[in-house]
Amino acid sequence: MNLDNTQSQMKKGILEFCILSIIKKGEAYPSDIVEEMKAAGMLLLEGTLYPLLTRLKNADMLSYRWVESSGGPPRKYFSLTATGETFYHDLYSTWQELAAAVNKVTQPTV
Amino acid sequence: MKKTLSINFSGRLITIDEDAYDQLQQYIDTLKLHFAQEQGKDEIIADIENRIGEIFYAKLTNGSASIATPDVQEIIATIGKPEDFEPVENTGNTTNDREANHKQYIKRGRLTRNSNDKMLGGVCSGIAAYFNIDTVLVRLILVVLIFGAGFGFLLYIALWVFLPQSSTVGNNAHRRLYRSNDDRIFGGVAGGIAQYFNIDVWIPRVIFALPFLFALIRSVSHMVLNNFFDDSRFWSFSFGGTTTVVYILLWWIIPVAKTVQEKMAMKGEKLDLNSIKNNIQDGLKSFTDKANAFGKDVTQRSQEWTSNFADDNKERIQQAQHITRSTSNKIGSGIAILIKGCLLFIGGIAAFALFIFIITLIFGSAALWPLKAFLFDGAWANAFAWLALLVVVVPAAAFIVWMSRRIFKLRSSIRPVKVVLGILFLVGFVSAICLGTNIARGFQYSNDKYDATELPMPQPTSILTVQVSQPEITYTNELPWVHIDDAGFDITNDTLKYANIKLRFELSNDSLYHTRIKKYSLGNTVTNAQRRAEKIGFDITTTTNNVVDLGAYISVSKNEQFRGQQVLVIIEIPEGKKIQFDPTIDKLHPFTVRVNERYNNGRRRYRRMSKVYFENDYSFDYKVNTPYYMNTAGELKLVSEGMPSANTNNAITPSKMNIDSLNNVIEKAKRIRDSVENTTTTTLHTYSPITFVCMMQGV
Repeated sequence: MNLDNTQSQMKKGILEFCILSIIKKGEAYPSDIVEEMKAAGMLLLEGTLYPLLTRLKNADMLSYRWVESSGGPPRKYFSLTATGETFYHDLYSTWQELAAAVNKVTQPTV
Repeated sequence: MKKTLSINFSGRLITIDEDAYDQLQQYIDTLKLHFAQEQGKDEIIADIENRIGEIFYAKLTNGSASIATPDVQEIIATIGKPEDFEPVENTGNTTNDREANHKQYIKRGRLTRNSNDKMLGGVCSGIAAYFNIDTVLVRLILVVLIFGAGFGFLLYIALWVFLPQSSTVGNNAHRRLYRSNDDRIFGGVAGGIAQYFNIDVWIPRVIFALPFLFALIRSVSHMVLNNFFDDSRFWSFSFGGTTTVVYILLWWIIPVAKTVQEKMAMKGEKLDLNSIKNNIQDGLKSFTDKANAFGKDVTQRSQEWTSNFADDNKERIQQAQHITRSTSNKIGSGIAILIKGCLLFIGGIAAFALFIFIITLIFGSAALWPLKAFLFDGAWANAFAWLALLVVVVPAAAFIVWMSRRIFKLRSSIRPVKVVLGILFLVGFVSAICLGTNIARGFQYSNDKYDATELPMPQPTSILTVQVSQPEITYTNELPWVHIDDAGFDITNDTLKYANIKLRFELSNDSLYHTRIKKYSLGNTVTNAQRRAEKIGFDITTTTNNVVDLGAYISVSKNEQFRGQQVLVIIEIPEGKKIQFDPTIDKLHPFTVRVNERYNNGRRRYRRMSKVYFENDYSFDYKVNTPYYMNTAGELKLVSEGMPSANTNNAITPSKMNIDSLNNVIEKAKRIRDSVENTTTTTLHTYSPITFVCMMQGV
């Protein structure tokens, strides 16, 4: 059993959930997502984020629009679609159950 | 001090240091490799590039002069190295799972044309991806089918038409055949093959070179020994059974390993991202040095060429140097690299053709060398001939020097050698012109104003027969390097024999048959021409009753040189008397030497070229074993078509006879005058196993 492997498996589903949560709060620019994750104490590489965003977008979870920026070409801002919204809610309830269960299981028995 | 480049990076103008640019380029390459199997890989890369561009732009607007390597390192830290990325696929988490999954995908995949990797329609790379093998193998098989079986071309077109195009196909073959740029003499084919099979590079090199050398030696010896005149054999060797063509083919088909990934695939190293990183770091260190060395190398080579073709090629060389410079400046200038590749390829082929041409010339001269005595008159001509050899020897030497320097990668200056070779070539060139002039002069004057010699002959009783009782002359093979198929020509070490004997029939002035013989030759003066003519060996027997027996050949001795010698036999026949030809007359092979002479009414200075050429003479068109009679106009007519009766002849009055013979005399005088005046184009009677166009520079 490889520790890295297990860790990344644990992180994998959570990452999508976190990203969707951030975007749900409002239109987001990828580097803002990275910043917010960092502030929350979770390190996210942009190299990981971009493929994820593209995949979610291709799965109709996300849509984006071009927003003019000061100097240089416009930036891509992402927001949730209706499908994304449902998906997020499903994930959210799953997370709640998981978190509760995991907390319960990992809690040292009194 | 660092060079900076201005690049357009996802819509922004970015000023970036050269080394930082290289690093960035490598980084993006690894990203592309990482995301190669991803669905929206182009979009992902575009997004990342966009982000990088944004960060760089912010840096530049905040006052940085240019993007340097630390900035790129920072970017790599932010975006992350591919090996640190979280796996994002649904289907599997580990790299191993991914690979297995990918392989499965390929096996399940449809057979398509691969638009990502194509030379024409992407058929080959599509097939390769389907079977998960190296595209080069498929291309090779296809080329073998095209050139070997012929239907390969149709097959390709059919597949091109029927297979759908796809851009999502990837090829997972680990070890792929590339040409090696680091280890090459010509195209790096041998280097690439050595890497592919993990053997020393000299092994494929020897395999490529040996058959070529053997074939060269074999064909040259073959040619020298018995087949100089058959050019086609000489050319055939280079295209039959040698590896040269194979090499050029491979050069064309196999891609050169340019990127780090390709270089690693060439060696069959696992495409692991850490190993890529290591390779990049190794590569980056030496990259600038390499680029500079390469630039110098190409510049120097183009300078070598410059000195060879100094006058007429300046512009092209400057262009080449420009390309060289830009190549070393900037790895991204793909067009320059493409042009350079084309130039090198064309140059390689041209050098090969030149080499073959020079070899041909050398052995051509060598084969003709023993015959020089028949062509060159005097010490000067011989000296010129020796010096003229430099024209072929010098380029050969230069080629060998160039090749060996190329192979041993010598970079030292060889200016003195080049100067000496240049001078020697010039000397050879001038000598060749002098030799040509000298020979052309030898063909300048004819001895035709000298009179023919009359031979005594008994008068035939009813009909005169012309025959050739000597055996027909054929080539005796005394000079093994001369190959002649046709009869009527022989050459030995000291004598040249050929059947250039021509017959002419005239109306006799009296009632008797006469035989006159005239020997012709050309020379640099009329006297010399006459001296040569007198020495022509020719046998003729006129003393037998009813028969004129001609020799089958004339002979020219080595001391006299070949100057278009020929013999004209004039047979005069009284009016109404008969003549017939024996079938042995076939043994004669008259030919004509035409000399474009240069003393034409004082306009010689305008005549730059002088040509000597040979044509068959078909003017003898009488039937054999058939009697002819001489009519009053001096023409031979068939007896079977009816001849005037003897009675009518006898009825002619003496005065009429006198007028007729007077007319004949006038006619003859005119003919002689014409032949004397008509010296600009001297018509001789000759034969042509050698179709020989000798172009000589006029004085």
